[in-house]
Amino acid sequence: MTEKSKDKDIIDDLEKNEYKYGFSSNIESEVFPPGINEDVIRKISAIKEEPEFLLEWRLKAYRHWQTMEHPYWAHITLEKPDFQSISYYAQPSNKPKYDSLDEVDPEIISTFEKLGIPLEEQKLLAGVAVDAVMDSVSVHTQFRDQLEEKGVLFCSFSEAARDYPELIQKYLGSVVPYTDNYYAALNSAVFSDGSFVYIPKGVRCPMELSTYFRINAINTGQFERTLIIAEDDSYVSYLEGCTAPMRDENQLHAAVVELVAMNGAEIKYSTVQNWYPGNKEGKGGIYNFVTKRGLCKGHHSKISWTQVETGSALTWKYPSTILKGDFSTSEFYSVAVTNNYQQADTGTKMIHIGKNTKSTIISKGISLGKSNNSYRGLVRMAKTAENARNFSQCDSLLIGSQCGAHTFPYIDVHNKTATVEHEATTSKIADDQIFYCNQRGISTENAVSLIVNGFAKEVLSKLPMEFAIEAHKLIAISMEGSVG
Amino acid sequence: MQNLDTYIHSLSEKNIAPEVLATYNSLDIPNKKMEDWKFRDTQDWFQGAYNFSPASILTSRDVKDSIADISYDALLVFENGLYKSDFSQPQHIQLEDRKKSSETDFVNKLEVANEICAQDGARIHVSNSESSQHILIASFYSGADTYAFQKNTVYIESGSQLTITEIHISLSNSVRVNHALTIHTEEHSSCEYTTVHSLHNDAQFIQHVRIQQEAESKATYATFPVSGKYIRSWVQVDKVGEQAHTHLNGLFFPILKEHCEQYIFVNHLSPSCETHKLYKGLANDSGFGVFSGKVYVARDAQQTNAVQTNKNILLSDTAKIHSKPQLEIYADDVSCSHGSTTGQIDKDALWYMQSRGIAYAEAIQLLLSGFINDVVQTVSIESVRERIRTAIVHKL
Repeated sequence: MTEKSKDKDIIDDLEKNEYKYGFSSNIESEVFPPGINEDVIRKISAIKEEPEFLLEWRLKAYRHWQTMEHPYWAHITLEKPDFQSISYYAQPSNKPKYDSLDEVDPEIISTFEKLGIPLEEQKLLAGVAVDAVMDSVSVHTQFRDQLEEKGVLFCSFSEAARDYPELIQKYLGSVVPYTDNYYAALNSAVFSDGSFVYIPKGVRCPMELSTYFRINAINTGQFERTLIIAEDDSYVSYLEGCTAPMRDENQLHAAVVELVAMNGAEIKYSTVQNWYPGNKEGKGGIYNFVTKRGLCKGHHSKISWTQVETGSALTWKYPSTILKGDFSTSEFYSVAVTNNYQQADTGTKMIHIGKNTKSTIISKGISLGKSNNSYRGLVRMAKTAENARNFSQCDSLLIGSQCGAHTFPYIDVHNKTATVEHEATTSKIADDQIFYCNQRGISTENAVSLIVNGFAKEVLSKLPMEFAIEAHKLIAISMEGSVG
Repeated sequence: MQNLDTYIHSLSEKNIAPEVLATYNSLDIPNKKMEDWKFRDTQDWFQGAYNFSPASILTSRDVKDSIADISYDALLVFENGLYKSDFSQPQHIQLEDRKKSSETDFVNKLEVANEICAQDGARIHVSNSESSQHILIASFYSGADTYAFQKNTVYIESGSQLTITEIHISLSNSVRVNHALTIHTEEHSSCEYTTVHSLHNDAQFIQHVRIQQEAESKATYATFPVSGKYIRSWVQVDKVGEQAHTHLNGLFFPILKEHCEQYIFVNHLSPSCETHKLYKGLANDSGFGVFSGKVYVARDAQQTNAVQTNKNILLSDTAKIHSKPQLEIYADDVSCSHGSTTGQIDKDALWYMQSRGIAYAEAIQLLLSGFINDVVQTVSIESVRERIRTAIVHKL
């Protein structure tokens, strides 16, 4: 076999690779009929037993959303989703709360087990608390007592709205206002549930907090809302991971994540996203429009984003940080793998306002099949950002001749003492690299895997231990055929 | 005095292709909602009252004063977009007639306006026998509230080689210029085109440049907007032939309230092409600089090698630079990179020089001269190089 046809086989193998986590579990769902109007919003709010201010806020967001136009600037091909054909609320089974695992629908437990998420007591040993969001209602929350001892609040968003309305009222929409963008406005109007984390002053959260979002029922767009508040000198590491069952229709996902870091606080937010990317012909798959933004409100605060994006038919997300406090820092590490007809337009925004603020952006894009992978980023040095620094690096790797890799960086500098560096490269795996590996007895397939792993290593090494393993698995699955 | 729309409708219809006029009518006025115009509205270019046919005031003294330091083989002089045969020395350069074009591929309404309104311009066609010359185009703009159009076309036949320098000079303050340039290089030909703007601090200039390259041709385009209130340059290079090489260089230096924008798009449509882009920006006072570059590599353009570099220095607290170096790549066997930096003068270097007895001001001057030097160095004609260097150092 010639070298060329071997390469082609490997590429074909990669493209053929099916979605491994595609299955759906039969759980009774209480689903709203499709459509959106003010009554739907009132109904969601009523089910959640939300305080009055929240309903008002949702309605304001909805009214604003109606005045907005659907955005088309991203480098993706997309038909505007029909928002009236989506159901805006789904609740797994009728029972909203469980005290122990025995009460949980065994179907749910087995679904999680198939996903390799041990919800059982073993998690305690691993030191991970899981707030699992299945469709929209939080079904199980672990380690709450242990966290409460430290004063850490970690609960579903609806509970938080009931139990800590003053915190919600103070911080909800303070980083991502409902007027921010089209999908943030939609989310603000209809968000179903999500996670709420509050770390009090001086507390180092004793364990990694994690939530698994899953989209389960057909045609129920998930609209999570996550709010994390880290008070002075606190620390929290939050993990978010996603897998979804195989479905034919495009499912919409529009989440909003807000982080607030006070003086000296640190928030580490890690994501592994592996939603159904559609089949080989580009049919189906999740539409993922996410607004994630952190505010380094206090001095010496830090927010770091790490993401591994392998799923979704369409990804449109830019985890951003506003560096408002002096000496605050932010990091963004991303690996995005696209295959078949996947489209990703992802990146970050670093808005430097405070003095001596620092940010680092490392983005790695890997395109296979007929996919398009774009990095879009903004680095803005405001006039007040004395001595601010930014370093950005975005590298793209193309595997196969049908895919595309793009870079759209925006660099706005309004302060003479600020320093911004940006570099980007696009290349394929060089023949001499493969040749070098072959020469040393490594098969072409293994060589490709080795090189891709090396390419992404800088980012993967930033993930917390538990996620690093899952991320390696995901990249291996996305690249299957080449990873030994 | 009239606005652009009225002027266009007053022009004799037989000179305008209906398709072009239809395109003009169908396009929106460039405004801040458009990605490539987000820093500048152009309502005033369409709705303000201007003088479209000012009287000629150019004297031989003006010409002499402006170009005395530059050596050339042939000289073409224009005033407000019209050819001035009295002052020109075309030698044996072939100047073609202005052709009525029915082309409808325009990037925006201003480019269409140029196609409709430009009556004249340097239309150079070079065949093998006239190779290796340096043509100097001196374009003057004069009169109060003048709105001038000019369109230059350069066609280089296979195997020929040509160097062109165009100097834009304003003789009065309130002029607006809508300039267009197309360059076509046939196989194995080579063209170097350098543009220098020495405009009054109230003069505004918008330029659209299209370069089309056939196989194994070489094009070098450099732009030096030395002065002018608003200078915007839009360049598109289409590499239709294999192994076409392009060098694009630029140096922008907005000071006071100057506003300078550089948009450069390179389309790699054929395999094995090479592009080197080097743009440097300096901004002082309330100067505003914009660099937006894109390297596009089509699916078939394998073995492309493209390097895009943009370096900027901010010298004051109110100066602003926006940089957007983009890549859009659909071929896998390519090597494309870009780098962009924005910062200030290297403090270590400054300290090093001061510690060796070089005064602060002189050290800064030296460092900035070094910064601009690699762009200025790319100009092959020495007298032009010196002219640019002197103008920029003077501005420093």
